[in-house]
Amino acid sequence: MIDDTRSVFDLAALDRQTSGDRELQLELVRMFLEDCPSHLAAIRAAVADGDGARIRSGAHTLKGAAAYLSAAFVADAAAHLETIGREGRLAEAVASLERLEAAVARLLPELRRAER
Amino acid sequence: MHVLVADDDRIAAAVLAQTLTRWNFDVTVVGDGAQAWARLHDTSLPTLAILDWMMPELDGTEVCRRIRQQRPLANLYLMLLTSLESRSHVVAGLEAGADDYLVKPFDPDELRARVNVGVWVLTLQETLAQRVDELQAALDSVKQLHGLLPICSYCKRIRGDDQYWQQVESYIVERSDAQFSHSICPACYVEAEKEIEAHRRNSSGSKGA
Repeated sequence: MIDDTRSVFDLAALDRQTSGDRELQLELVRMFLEDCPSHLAAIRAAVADGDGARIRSGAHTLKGAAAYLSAAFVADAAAHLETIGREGRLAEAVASLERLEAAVARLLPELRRAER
Repeated sequence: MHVLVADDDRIAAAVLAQTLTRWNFDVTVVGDGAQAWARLHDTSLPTLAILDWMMPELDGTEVCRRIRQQRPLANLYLMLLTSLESRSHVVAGLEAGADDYLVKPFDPDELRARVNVGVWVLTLQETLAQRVDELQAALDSVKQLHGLLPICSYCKRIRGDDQYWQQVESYIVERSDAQFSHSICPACYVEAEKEIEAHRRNSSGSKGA
């Protein structure tokens, strides 16, 4: 479950991460919006194939990108799926992927709003 | 100072590159370990490299291992980027040849502090390398003085590498920090005294005539 007491996307943390560079913040948001669909597609395919190594690497990439954007929900959900992939607990992968997709579904509108 | 950023995550690479550029570093970004290895293998400049742990082609630890094996004397400071849960692997990274590590996503203040350490180490190594070169040049000069010198049996001039014959004194002064104080040895003193006396006699004889 997503912890609703935290914000989906921590602008203050992003501001600190980028030392207040607004242009860089917008570039990062744009990159995430561009890359996220392909990252998710790769993870979905890996889950469908039951390929732990690909689940791990795909989730790892998405986790890293989300962490730099201070999008903690997505980063946490991706980290969970990465652990599942690493440990080969493939039976849990589908549920973990659903959790990740729900987190991403919450994040993307926030990012699109921030981009404007 | 040149910094190489190697990360397949373009968001991480963009944040690092922009931050380092803002601090006036000359930044190059590559997207995988093979490109990082190629750049670090070829560079002759002091370089600080920030390498992601997990990358396509070659991971960050393998890049560190290759660099330390094949370019052990290169002036390169290698930092590994690792995620928090991989922190237990830090020892393996340091053993592979990394000088330091950073946890992703990095804290800007921590990045700056660690990069400053890297710059200090690279600068120190560069200074030491220059001193070694200077010492080597001095050693070469001393060896030359200790080597076989062609000397004229009559006038005692020495032939230098440029085929020019020069006085022993100027030859040594040019090739070392030695300085000469001028005096006269007892044997030469006896000879010189005879010459002076003869000169004096000649002078008084010619005056008398």
